[in-house]
Amino acid sequence: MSKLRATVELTYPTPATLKIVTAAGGVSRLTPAQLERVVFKTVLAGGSCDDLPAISRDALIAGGQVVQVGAKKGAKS
Amino acid sequence: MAAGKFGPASGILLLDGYNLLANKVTGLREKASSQLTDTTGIGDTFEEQTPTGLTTLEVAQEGGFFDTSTTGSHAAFNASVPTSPQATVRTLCVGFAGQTTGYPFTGFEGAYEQDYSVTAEMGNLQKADVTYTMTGARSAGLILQPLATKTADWNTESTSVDNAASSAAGGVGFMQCTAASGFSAFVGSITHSTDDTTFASLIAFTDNVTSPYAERKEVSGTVNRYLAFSGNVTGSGSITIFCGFSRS
Repeated sequence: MSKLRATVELTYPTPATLKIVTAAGGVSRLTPAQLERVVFKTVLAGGSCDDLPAISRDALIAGGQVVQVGAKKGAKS
Repeated sequence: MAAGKFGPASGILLLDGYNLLANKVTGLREKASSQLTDTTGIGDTFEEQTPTGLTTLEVAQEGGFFDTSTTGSHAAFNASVPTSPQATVRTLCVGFAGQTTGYPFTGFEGAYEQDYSVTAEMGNLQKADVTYTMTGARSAGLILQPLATKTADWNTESTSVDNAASSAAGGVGFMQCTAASGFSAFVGSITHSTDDTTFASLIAFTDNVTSPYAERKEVSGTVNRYLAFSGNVTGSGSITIFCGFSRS
């Protein structure tokens, strides 16, 4: 399994609180009470982001904001 | 954005980090003029005009008080009427719909303060009028961070601006800092997201803790559907920031 590394600064909900965001339909749809319960993680450029929300992963890799390191060519990550 | 009409309370005029509405400007005008050429020929029965593709941009402010305080109008204008071809252009943001996230503003690539006119008259306070002429593009965008004072790290992801889709041709961000004190570092960033869940840095403005200060920064490539602003401070203090972004 490859590791994910951020190429720019990223902010995302921690895995433990992601379900609150997912259930609401996004960060901008959170109520103030829900927003208080969500814990956000900031990863600086170059940092590991293996706990990135799965729904964001492909788009961030496609956009170049996240790269896979240690992946074998042709191997499933 | 709420559709409707707007009144004088909804004006925005920020130049190089100076909030010029503080000087009680009574008139604010943004004018774009398309250059047309006469293409009337034999056989035509009416005059014909065709755009040449050149647009002239002008912004004018009228009736503001002549103010010599540190962040007043005189400090903003007295030394900046351009006197050489190498004169520094200024960063200007104008709006007519208020300081609200997702509401429109216009940023200008290069603004020259062409006319600075101070007037004294009996029975009135001194007034200052300014006309800006542009040497670059007009960027119509949306406000990501309305002018506000902050004392700690923050972001606007919970009030992100939704474009309904991504765009492919980059854009330009504008940041204006009207007041700052105490912090040893401040980095403002525009962030974007495809899914309103994970936000990635799109534009990082220069680390700056002085005021007044403004910066215009371009980005190329894909700009994702959701846009927000993030402010990261070091130390303790306060900073007053405006930010907007225009998609190309």
